[in-house]
Amino acid sequence: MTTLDDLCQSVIEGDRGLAQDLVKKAIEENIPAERILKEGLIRAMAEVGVKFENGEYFVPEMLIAARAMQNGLSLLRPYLVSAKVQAIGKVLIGTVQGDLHDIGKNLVAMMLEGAGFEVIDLGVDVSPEKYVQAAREHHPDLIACSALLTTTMPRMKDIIDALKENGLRDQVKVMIGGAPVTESFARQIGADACAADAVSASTRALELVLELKKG
Amino acid sequence: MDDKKTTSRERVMLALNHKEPDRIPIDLGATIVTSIANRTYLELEKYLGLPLEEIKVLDYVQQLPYVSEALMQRFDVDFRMVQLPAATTSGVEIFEEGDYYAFFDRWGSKLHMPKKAGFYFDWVDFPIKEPAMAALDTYRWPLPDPMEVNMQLGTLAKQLYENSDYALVGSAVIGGGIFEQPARIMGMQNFLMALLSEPAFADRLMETITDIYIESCNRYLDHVGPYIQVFTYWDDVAGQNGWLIRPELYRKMIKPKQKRLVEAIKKKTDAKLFYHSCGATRDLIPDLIEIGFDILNPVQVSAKGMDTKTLKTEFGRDIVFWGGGVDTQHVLPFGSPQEVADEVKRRIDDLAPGGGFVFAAVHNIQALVPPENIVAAFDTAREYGTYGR
Repeated sequence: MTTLDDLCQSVIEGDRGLAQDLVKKAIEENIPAERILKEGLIRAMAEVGVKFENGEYFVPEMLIAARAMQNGLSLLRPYLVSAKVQAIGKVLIGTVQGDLHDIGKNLVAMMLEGAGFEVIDLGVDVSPEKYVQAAREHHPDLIACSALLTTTMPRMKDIIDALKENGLRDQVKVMIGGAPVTESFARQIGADACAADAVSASTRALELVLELKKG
Repeated sequence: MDDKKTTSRERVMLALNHKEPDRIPIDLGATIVTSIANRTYLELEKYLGLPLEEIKVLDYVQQLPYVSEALMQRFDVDFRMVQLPAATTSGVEIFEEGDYYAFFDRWGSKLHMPKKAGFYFDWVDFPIKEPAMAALDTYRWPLPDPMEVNMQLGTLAKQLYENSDYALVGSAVIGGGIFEQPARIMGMQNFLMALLSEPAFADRLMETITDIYIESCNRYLDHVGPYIQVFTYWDDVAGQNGWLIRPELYRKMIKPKQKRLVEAIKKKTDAKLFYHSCGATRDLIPDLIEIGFDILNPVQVSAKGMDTKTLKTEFGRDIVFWGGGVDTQHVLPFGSPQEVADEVKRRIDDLAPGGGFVFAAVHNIQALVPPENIVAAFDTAREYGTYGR
């Protein structure tokens, strides 16, 4: 087993202390930061996603794996910056206005981060104006909106409308998710995609960002 | 039923004992998970031309009222509730904090509801910040309601039992379920991680909550136990697509505590035991039957694996379905009255045969649901829900 294999395994098992030690060890071994990221952390979170889809992992396992990944990433980040490693895309994420539920949104954010995205988390109860303002400021590739409630779902359309009114809609992809959200609702409000869980959200996000970059 | 008219209580007991009464019992407002959001409630009362009374709040978190006698009579509801607000005490003080309304629940956690476009209160700040035993040592655990309060509830229950024909429903679980409540004391993410990373801590937290619930239920049931027909418990362990946690983990760490609570309740009352968990609960049903629950709610028909026909075939002999009468994620809020009526008929066809079914929507009726749809649902249930049609 190489250090990166061990790192990958420590993240899969959610051992944050070990994950940090192994990131340090990999840095000491002069493994390039990008390889540590891709072959250690991203590979691990992909495996976690597979385990979730197979019904082998549940939310707690995903959470501790993501925590280990984030702990490792925080040590690695300065090295990624100095090596000018680019994220594969930038995502703005938030729970829509009127809705304070965040565990689903947080899981999606973690899986996106674990897939190599730069994630800007706007938190919960995010108004359409805040999305627009953040989109202007950060120039994201993707905007991800979460809602748990049938009563707050309509705010997703408000966000898309606000992006259109501000001339931003063509520059970003919009993905929606949350318990009551369906593909047909996504089409109806003009979103680009809908995701049923954190793993499919990360897969869809990759596809959307590729589409966007192809033009 | 010969020429004697079946009373609500008789009808309910037949249904809960898996026998067909004259018609399906109907519930709106007997529990904090089969009720209706305040603003929808007001619109519905107005639509039906019912006398407008000041709302008496049952549940601040979910913004639920005690449903009025007039509305329950309009829909022929067979139940009445004998229960205090669960998460809060009656003297809860709502205050303003920036863009939010706020209050502290009896567990010392802070909740927020957005002033603009908010529908619920949700937990935002927690008394336990770290999964450490020391945090449990110094935590101020809540006390069950005092004896006087339970005596008053006992008097109310006795009066309703003797002077009305309704089936009586109650609970004394003073927070979320044994699995839910820790998330409301320390945050959901932190608790779910603690289940794996700090199992001894998580175990002690849940055992203490169980002890508090047993004490609260004992106090309540000493006075109310002889009069109620249904005791409600809620503990969401599933999401839209399945278990929130590994089922083996549920069976190892949560189910034995639920069983301990059930055994304590059964010592004090003959009431049927009602279990509420949202989401895809199909694989939980055998566990619930095993530990002594009689009733499953809300039968979230839009979740994975929750086909009502299959559920009835597989588990209908051993568990009563209370809910599942109309989907609340898609049809009730967004369908037409005709689509609602069709949906209700379909669910009745699936769930009613042989008894063991109480009509209720899937969970509380939410805000933004048109009153026409609610009336269509309950009127269809009343008309189409007759046995021996």
